[in-house]
Amino acid sequence: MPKIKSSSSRIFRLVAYMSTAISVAIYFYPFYLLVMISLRANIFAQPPEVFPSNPDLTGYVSIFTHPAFLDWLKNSFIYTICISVGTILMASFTGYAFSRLNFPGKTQLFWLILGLMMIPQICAYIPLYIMLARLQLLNTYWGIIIPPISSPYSAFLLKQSFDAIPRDYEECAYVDGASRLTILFRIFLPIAKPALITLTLFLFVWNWNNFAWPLFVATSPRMWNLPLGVWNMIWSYTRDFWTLASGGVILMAVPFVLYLIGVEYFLRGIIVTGLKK
Amino acid sequence: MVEVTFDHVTKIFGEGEEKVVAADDVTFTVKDKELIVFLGPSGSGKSTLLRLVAGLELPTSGDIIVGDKVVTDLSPRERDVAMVFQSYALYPFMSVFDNIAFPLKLRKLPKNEIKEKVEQAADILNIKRLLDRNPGQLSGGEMQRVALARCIVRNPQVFLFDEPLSNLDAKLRVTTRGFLKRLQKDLGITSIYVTHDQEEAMTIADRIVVLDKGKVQQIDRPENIYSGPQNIFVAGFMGSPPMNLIEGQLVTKDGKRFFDARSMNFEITPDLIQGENLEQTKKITLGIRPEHVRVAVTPSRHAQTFRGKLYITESVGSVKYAMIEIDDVMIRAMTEMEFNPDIGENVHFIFELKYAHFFDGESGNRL
Amino acid sequence: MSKEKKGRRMRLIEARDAFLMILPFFALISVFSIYPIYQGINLSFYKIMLPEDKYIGLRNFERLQNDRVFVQTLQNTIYYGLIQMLGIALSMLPALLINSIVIQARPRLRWLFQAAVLLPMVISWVTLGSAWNWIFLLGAGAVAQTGRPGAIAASPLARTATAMPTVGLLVVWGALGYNTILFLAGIRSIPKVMYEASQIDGASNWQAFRYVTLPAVKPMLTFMVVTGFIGAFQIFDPVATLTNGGPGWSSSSIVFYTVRQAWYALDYGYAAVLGLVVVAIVFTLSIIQFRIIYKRYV
Repeated sequence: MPKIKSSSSRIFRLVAYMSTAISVAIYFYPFYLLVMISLRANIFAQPPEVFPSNPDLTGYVSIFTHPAFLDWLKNSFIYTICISVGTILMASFTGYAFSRLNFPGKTQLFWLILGLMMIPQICAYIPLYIMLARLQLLNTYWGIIIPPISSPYSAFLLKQSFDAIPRDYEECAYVDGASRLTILFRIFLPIAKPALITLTLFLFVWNWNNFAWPLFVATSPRMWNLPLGVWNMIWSYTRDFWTLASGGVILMAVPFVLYLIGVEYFLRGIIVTGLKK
Repeated sequence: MVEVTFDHVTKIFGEGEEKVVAADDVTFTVKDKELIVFLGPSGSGKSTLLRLVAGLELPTSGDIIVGDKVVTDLSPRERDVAMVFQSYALYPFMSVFDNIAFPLKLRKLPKNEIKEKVEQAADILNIKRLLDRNPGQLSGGEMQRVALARCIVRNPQVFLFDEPLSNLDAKLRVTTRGFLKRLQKDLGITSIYVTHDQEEAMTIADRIVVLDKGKVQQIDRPENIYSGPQNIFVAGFMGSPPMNLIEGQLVTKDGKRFFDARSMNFEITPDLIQGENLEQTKKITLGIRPEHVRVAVTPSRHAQTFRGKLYITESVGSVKYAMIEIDDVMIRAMTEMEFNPDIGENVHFIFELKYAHFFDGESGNRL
Repeated sequence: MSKEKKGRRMRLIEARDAFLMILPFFALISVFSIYPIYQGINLSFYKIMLPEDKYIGLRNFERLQNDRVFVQTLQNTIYYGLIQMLGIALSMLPALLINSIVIQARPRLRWLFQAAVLLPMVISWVTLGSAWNWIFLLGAGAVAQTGRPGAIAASPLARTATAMPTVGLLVVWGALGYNTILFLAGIRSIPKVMYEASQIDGASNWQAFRYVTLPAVKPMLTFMVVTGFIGAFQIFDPVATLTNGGPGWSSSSIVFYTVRQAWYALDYGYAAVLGLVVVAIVFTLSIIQFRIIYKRYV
């Protein structure tokens, strides 16, 4: 972009800081408000408090002492970790096969994956529900964890990322005499680590936040995950708003931490997949 | 009359430890209608100087004058210069015609005038048949011509060329060189050309500005720079293969001066060096081009023959060079094609001293 | 061993390895993705009840034709799609601003901006939904002591006329980060040389934007706009957490309606039909999208 002389560059700098500050404020404000409410700060007063005068943890206590809370928390972790890990494993092998190997039917199977990607997941939930019910898998860990593992989207993403990795390293190892399995594990995967980490982070966040799926498959409240539990409380009209806010904050804790740790990965993940198009 | 003048121009990038002085108090003038070449290794500041003329960079201090205007504070569009970039920078989503027409379109010239000028430019560069294509469909040479057309269509005051031939293959480079020089002569527009290839500079320049680390080393016509380098840097940079540079001592004995580099020493007769302040210098460097070193297997009857071992011979088509190893130093000499002693064999060589250059061992300047 | 034989053997091994790798994936896909779709078609002809399903043929489809709610939710969804497209076009503004200004000032700022703006994408709408509900209550000046979300009629989320647009805008807010980042990346991928050449050719800032930036960004813009529209047909979380579809059905998206039929009304047959409709629409739109993209740029 064009060069700017020094006096207007100072103005630009000011505008830059201000716009960034405003945007950051707009995006952090909702969360800030949520935390305030959860601590029972008097935000309805005029003017509203900036810091809670006496932070009140009753909301949090209500949540923590809710009989099903521990179940929900436990389930959230189990579902998130198991589904994410399962998906990554499957998508890695599939993505690798499509990226590096040749086999009959490859093109057709790839089109199949593309086609499946175009179907909104939620619409498969309904018949899936019926099927799981018939198989007596409803409301079980198996029933909740296994179906989402085969994610065409993840396989596609990984295949694309793998394509971008130069084959030189593998070919060199191949000439040196390594078996395919050795190449896969000792050479390829380490190089592909950034892409894998990025996908893992995305999956963790997505699965942690996902409440539509358990909504269908977890028929008893004890099998719900955290988002589902909190959501249910919101619409049940039996809770006061600081409790609900506390639920929201607790729910947000895990993705937020993951986000802080891995912001680079998230940003890069989006940019890389976006630019490919 | 369009001259381009650098008036004590300095450009510094970065601060503190990362400070880079790209141009250091540069002062000179490019003459009207001249094709001047900024020559130097990468990092020498040649591209920076070009971009300063274009207005893509602003000098830290000093002024730039184009024609009769001081343009230092003006933006590029106000300067009336045209530039060919190394990567050509053609707009990928416009046809060739639109690419060339773009500068005129920005100036809101009437459509028929634009068409006329574009076709004229395309004619000169012989790309009329390409006008409907997209840059993506062109070869490197064709893209370069389009970039040139875009340049000349405006009839600017100054042409700026930023290593325009680097992306072409070697053969195309050579043919295009001649074409460019002729084009510039025909159009008669003051031009500044940047390159790191000294052979290219020698063939097309009216004058060459040799640069190193932001400082002007020498400005002169190509033949003068070749035969009369002002310092060690210029001496070593110009000429392919490069000049031999041999370090030695200046020894005075019995009122006569000698060049002493262990096995190689000879008297420095007064006609060899013009400078007066010779007594202060102790270390001097001898510069002599391979074509002025004669080598043979047997010693010549000439008094000042030196002996070394043959390291290797290199043959380049019509010309052969021998690398001679002597006192841990390599000397390159031009020989006939038949010269073919064994490696390691003793060979004898002499210097044609009337073509020798001497440089101060400390400052590098010519003596 | 002849050359052909060697090649064949290697190829067989490669194919075998490949199939081993993809087998689990495609096995699961067949069971849990493909079969359910087939089942879904099947289901739409039934009314699911205990103890045994009643075959009702095309009754579900007939019901679809007269279903007002279906039409309304379809309308809503299309509106959402249009709002999304608007949002994407709008997100070019912050991208440009950040690019031209912040780059000059400090790259760290750009990083901070991107991180902040992307944040909603990793937070569940359960959290976001409740947060925004409170914000609106605050803005509406409500001083309720026991503020349960639906009870306060002053919030724009609770009023029929404004519920849907508000939800749409909030979805734009949530997705803004993603879109801005994509645009930023696209803009920054334009080689600087292009701008320099245009400067020398005499372009002003505005002309440079129009002739260099815009054309380069157009492919990405097109893709994002089309994807955004298609994405509206998958909106579920925001609706479920902001307004629960209400008031009435005024802010329900079509997927939400489908889920409601299945979950609350327990009418799986009808839900299956709705699901099929959604699949059909999305599939068609996706095909169109493919065509647009590939025709223009390949």
